Amino acid sequence: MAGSLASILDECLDALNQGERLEDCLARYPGQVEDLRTLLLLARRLSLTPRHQPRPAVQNAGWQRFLARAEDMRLGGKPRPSINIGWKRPLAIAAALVLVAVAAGGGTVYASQGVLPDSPLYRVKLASEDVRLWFTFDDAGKAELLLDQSRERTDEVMELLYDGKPIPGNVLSSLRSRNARAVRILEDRPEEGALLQRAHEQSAAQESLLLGLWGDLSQSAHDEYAEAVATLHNAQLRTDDVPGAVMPEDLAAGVINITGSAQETVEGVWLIGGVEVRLDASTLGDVNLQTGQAVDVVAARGANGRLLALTVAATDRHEPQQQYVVSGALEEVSNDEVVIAGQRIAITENTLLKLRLQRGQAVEIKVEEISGEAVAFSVEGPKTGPQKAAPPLLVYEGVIEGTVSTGEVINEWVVGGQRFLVTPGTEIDARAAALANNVRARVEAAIDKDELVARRVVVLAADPSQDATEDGGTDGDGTEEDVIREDGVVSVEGVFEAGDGERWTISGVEVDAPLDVETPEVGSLVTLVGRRKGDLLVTEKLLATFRPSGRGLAQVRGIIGKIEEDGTLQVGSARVELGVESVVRGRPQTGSRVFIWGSLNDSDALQALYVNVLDPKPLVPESGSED
Amino acid sequence: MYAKALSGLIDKPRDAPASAEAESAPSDDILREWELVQRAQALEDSALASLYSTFYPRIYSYAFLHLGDVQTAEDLTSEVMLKVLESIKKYRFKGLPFSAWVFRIARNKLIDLHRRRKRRGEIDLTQPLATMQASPQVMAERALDRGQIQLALKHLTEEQRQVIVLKFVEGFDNASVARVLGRSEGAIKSLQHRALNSLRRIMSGGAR
Repeated sequence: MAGSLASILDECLDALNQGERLEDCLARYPGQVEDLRTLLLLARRLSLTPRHQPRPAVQNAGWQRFLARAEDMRLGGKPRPSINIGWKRPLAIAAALVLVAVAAGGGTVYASQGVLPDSPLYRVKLASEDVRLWFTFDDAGKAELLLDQSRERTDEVMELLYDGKPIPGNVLSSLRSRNARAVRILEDRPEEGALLQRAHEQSAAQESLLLGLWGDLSQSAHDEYAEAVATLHNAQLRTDDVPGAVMPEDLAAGVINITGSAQETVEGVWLIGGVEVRLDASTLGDVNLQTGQAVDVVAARGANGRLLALTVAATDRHEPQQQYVVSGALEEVSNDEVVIAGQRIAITENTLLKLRLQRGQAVEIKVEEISGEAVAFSVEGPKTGPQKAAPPLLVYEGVIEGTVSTGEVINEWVVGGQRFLVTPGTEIDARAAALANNVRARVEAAIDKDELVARRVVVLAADPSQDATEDGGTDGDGTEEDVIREDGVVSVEGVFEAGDGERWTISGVEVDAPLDVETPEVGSLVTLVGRRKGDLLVTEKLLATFRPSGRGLAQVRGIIGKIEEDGTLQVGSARVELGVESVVRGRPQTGSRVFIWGSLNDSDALQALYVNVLDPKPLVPESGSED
Repeated sequence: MYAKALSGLIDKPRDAPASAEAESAPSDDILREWELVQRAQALEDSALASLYSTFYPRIYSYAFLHLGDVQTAEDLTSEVMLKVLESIKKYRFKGLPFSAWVFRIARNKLIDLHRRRKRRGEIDLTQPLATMQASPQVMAERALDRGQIQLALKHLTEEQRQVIVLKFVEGFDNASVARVLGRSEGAIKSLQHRALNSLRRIMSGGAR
């Protein structure tokens, strides 16, 4: 049957090609009309499909090469192997651009060497790089040059960030293509082990950089971003001979950072802190997960919302967390270090600087302890405008309401009646409990274009009744956990911006002012608990207000590494002193996560104003050494 | 400029009736093409320019439909064109269009590329995650856009994809497709039927 239909189909295709009408052909085969009609119409549609057109510049470049080869042949030259023609292709384009640039004004090429991707001369710079490639004849040298040029793109990205400029697509495109070309050469040259290793490591570093840059891209650069991250990721797989590949489509909706406990659902699909993530051959890192294992995952988010783990890193619960975050105004700035919140933090060439450092600039610094020294991993400033003052941080705690979706680029979550936008820049910390409806969460957010954008969501212990028990406050007063973590109760920590006896604005959130309380000074830290009533937050209890010193507020978050005899908390390298006025919520323990609001005292030490211990039990068990 | 040197070369075979490429007697178009090829074998600039400007876009389109990646398709096209140039003196007219010979080279280059990728364990970067959803009624009357066909083709077997592209996009007759793929004409008829059927199912959202 199928065979006869194949013959009938072929006959009809032939007849139609000679001008016969479709209905006439169908009339000859009444028993096959439906199948035949569908297949013939499909064939017609295929034949109407326009061809993919090549890029004229590339076609022209190929023509120059074609002509040159013909000339060789006329002169009796032997045919050369026509492999890796991709290297030759850019020549004509590059040469044409360079010639145009030179014709337009002598020295243009030279002048282009220091330009950034947002400059009109940038194309000349790329073209001159292509010319260098053209005149590099051995493959290893070419691969090395390509890797150098790809790294130059990284430097350009860093410079753009430093100048507070958005990352355009052209630099990502060039970074990607040079990396891909280098890897393509090296794959067929296993003898170039050192270069292969360099390609692998450089790709890893570049991918790591790009994964933190979604929020810094220009609007039009998202496609190039997805292509670049996929290429860099695949380069690591290919140089390791690992089968598998990430596709740009997998990154269509950016990336997401999740920290949490792993639970397998079906083969290859895991819940990480309650969020469904697929692991496959393209996933790098600690891929042999165990149920219950704590992991950090960076996942690509496809247009369909599905998450694919790019990297998985197991978090060893028995090692103290070495990374912490300090926010506040820069007190001192020099070439190789800054001082913030009383902490001296080294700036190295690997520090991701997302702004030009200036004294007084509000920043958030991710700090790593390397060989006992505090080293800045990244320094970020306010996203909007060149102003020194960042929008004040809001810390909001309540119950997650409704579905928590991670499927879109921008997701809306409601926590304690307050709406937050969750973006690719939002970190999700689900180490203590899985992300789900009706669990308590703590959101760190800031106003951006009239929207509260979550920077970080921390899921708190699933059973709030456990939180309300033991020893509410150690050093401070008024912790009253039973009030704070009741159902329906939200807590707010933020900066008093404006208000009177009726309404206060705290870090962008409007609250019903507490009764019989003096209006705080602008810039004060306010902590309170209340309940949502419609759009308004009705204060039930003002926990505390603090007037910071003239040097403003600073925040430190991380895991308590040590508690000294006098109660001083050590978080990473940051030391936070507790005074008589410090309010401590929860019981500080080594290994517990903590969020501290503080201010510098007269001795330039960071004095805690409000300490919020997030974990009733240590998240990281003590490793044996007591304080 | 090669575009200005165009002369005498027949247009895409898709525009020519299939009967004109009958197995028995070569058509006028094929004979004119053969004349052009002979000039190209003598390395005449104008003939080379005609061949290049005619086949570069066609090979590129063919490569792109199989690879789904602009840069790789460009690289492959350039390789094919150089190979055509270097081998053209070996070409002998056997009654089939010169283009069948060119596409045979392209197909071999494509196979080489797939082998290299397989050796590296590389998965096709462009394989789509989901099939398209369109009813047969909706799809009946309009041309496919290039994205649609690109996605749908990825679900076909290599041979089915070759037949669809060569027969319906490039407009080759069965004899030429058979020559390019190294199969019999009977096999091409069966493949063509299976390929269209698969494509129909894919485009209406069904499993292959």
